[in-house]
Amino acid sequence: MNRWLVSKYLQGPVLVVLCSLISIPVLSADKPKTPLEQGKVLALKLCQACHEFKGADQAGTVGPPFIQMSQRFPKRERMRDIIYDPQKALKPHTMMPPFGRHGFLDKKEIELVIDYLYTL
Amino acid sequence: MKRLYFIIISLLISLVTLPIVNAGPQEDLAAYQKYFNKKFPDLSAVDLSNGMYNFNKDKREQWEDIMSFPPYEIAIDDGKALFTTPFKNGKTYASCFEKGGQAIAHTYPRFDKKSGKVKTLAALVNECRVKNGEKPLPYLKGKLASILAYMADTSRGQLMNVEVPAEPAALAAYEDGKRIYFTRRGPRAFACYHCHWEAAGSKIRGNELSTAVGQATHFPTYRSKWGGMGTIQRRYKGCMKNIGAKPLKQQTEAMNNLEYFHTFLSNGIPMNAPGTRF
Ligand code: HEC
Repeated sequence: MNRWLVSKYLQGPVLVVLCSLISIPVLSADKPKTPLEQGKVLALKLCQACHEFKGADQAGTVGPPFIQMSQRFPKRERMRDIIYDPQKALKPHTMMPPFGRHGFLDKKEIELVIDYLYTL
Repeated sequence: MKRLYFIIISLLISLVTLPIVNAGPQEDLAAYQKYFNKKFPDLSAVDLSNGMYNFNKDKREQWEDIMSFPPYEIAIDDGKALFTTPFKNGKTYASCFEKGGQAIAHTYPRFDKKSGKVKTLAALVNECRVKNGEKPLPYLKGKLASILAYMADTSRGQLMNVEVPAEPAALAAYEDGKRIYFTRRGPRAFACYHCHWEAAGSKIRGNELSTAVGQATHFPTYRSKWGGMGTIQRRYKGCMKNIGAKPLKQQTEAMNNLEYFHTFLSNGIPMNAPGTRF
């Protein structure tokens, strides 16, 4: 009797736990993201609120659109400085957040974003 | 001779810089409103008070549909009932305000000489309650917002007219509000100024940004997102939260100074409150 109860009431949760154990690795093992894809994810998360670019479906128009990036920013260094701290690299009153200085992006992530922006 | 040159040059310099150093609220206002007129030459002062709906045709149409049965009407009725119902001591709100509280909303916030501080209309409604033995109401929504909606409705069409008297404490409050408006806050380091001034008319994450000038004309406002009315400080707090900053607390000196400066920006534009927004 007791055992029946236990199994009746525990079945649900046990199944859920088992399923999640199985599905978590499956989901994350789905496909490792390439560096370019990682850069795109970061750009969609942090840049599209203000900038338009290919694939951004909630894009803002506050900043300039991301087009012809390699022509407009031939120097990678310049792009890096702007993303790290535009108040220094662009102008003191700029609206653009200091993504590097305020820790939204670490050094490696900035490079991933730049690589992606250069595809635009 | 050298000395003469020096005097002439310093006189010239002071002539050039004096207007800037001495720029008071009126000079600010003229310059600020000119900025928006230049940025949006097709928008009249009245247009500016229509906020984001100036910049998106679809949203404009939806908004006009909503406005054919304005969702704030109930709040005006509720507010009127509250305003005219006597307190337990038999007195009414009308006893606390000049002109019985009719058509005064467009002149608030005001600088209060006695306390040396800015007083919002919301604060005065609560002071009136306390003076008459009632408990103060919560500041951001509900009954207080309804009372303000009713009072604002009696000012509809009047030109916004917030005064900054020429005395040090009032000017200091104004300057403090201005400073707060232009101060970066939160992890993204945005100031109110960035979104509603520099970037006004542009889109941020799919939202067209309204102009700072004109915003204060339609508060309190019914917001679909809130499912009800909210006061202007509720909206300020919303913007502060949205950018990940710690919101200022309602009715603090800082918040009231912000409201003072921000409402002053709409001087000369007809009050159109209560209003409605998505
Ligand atoms: C990151 C951009 C951003 C910042 C910074 C920002 N806001 Fe907003 N604000 C918005 C958006 C988006 C809306 C909704 C669209 C609109 O009405 O402009 C809004 C709406 C408003 C409204 C309502 C306008 C209306 O017509 O009903 C007010 C008032 C307002 N903001 C005041 C402020 C104040 C004061 C600050 C500074 C504390 C501030 N905002 C900072 C983005 C911002």
